[in-house]
Amino acid sequence: MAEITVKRIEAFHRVLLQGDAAQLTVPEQRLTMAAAIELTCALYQAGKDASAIGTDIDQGGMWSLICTSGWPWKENEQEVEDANCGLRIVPGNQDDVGLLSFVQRMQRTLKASGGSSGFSRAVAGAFIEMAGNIREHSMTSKSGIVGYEVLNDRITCCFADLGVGVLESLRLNPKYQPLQTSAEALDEALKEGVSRFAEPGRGYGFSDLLRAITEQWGMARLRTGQAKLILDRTTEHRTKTTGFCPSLPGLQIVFTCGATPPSKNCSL
Amino acid sequence: MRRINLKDALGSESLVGRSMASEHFPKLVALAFGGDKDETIIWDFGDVDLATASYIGGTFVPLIRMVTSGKLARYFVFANLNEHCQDEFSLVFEAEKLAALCLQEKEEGHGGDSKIIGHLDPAYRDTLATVLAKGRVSAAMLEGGKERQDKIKRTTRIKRLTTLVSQGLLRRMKVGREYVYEATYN
Repeated sequence: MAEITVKRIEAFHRVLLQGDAAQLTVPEQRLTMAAAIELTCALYQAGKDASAIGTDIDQGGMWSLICTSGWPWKENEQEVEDANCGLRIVPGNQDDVGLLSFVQRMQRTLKASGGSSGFSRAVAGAFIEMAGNIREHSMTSKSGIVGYEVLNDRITCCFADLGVGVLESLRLNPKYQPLQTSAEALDEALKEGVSRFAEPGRGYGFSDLLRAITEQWGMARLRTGQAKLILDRTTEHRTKTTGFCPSLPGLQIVFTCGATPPSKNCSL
Repeated sequence: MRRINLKDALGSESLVGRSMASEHFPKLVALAFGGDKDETIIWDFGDVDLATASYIGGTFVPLIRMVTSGKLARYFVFANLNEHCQDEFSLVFEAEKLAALCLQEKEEGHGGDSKIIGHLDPAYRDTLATVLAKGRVSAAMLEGGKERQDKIKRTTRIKRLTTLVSQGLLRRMKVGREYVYEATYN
């Protein structure tokens, strides 16, 4: 089945901001996870719901799960799972006691598809860190979501919140007040020891994500404010691409990785 | 010497995230303060599958800072870390400019390889390696070794040894008129 990637949604988002709608209905196509997250946040930002884009693209996967869960309009803790994918609503400002068991289920799915324990451990570490960041750093009562999808020996995970975003968060630390743009803030946030908290021992949340994609043939897309950052480690030529998109609240991260290099060109 | 099996003590084989770190930190502080002054605590990660950087940043970084600031008179050894955990410790300790002794035991309490993880200047690393190899030394005893050939002054050697003591990497005791330095574990 053909896929709608996040690039298509970026273009759609610009159209959406001009007041047009229902431009995306393409039958028999499936949204990638990054596309599903970008679309959900774009619709939220525009004050629209899923009906604004028609229903024909709902062909399973993460978009289907998000529609089922009702995020971001529902704020109650909730989990939905399909055969190879799962989505969990992370409540705002509450303890997320169920996260570990959700991750254990993800690890079981990963192992069942042939992933080694080392691979599964690396992904779980990154997953829990990113999920924990939503509750700790989004600074909003609105819920966030975390999800995974295991497809063709690769796992793709998403983390999305509708909070203050990386720039505002980092600028709470006097050391980072000079930061002016979301792109600058995102670049800074990926460095070790960088945090909105000034106390030592902070700012290591992204290290597990970077390790997972670096060691496991991965790719990550980070999106906050107007900035996007794509880290591609799926080939020996490691690249880092930055760009600008319509503004979104919070931080959205999608990463994909596998124990072996992807068999075809990897896209999100 | 006291061994703390972290999986048993904390009830989890996954030590992950900042919120879990905040929850576990008081337990770890209580465990560290239990027992005798100046004792060596072996934090046994043998049954721990996963320890993430932010967890370490929220637990063992402040604990080690309590040791290096003199608020906690204990010596720490981290034992049986798997590759993933060891990488995470190295990353955090390098960034925080801390160092710790890491031990890979062949079986509990018997033998194994030791190494330093984290940030330690090569000169200090060499001095520590010498003490670990010899078991117990004084500054005067080091004069007969490799450092003598390097024409390093005795005051420099003493400074290095003292710094390693303040970092909790060596134990020091007074024997007669001089200080003797030894590894923090047997």
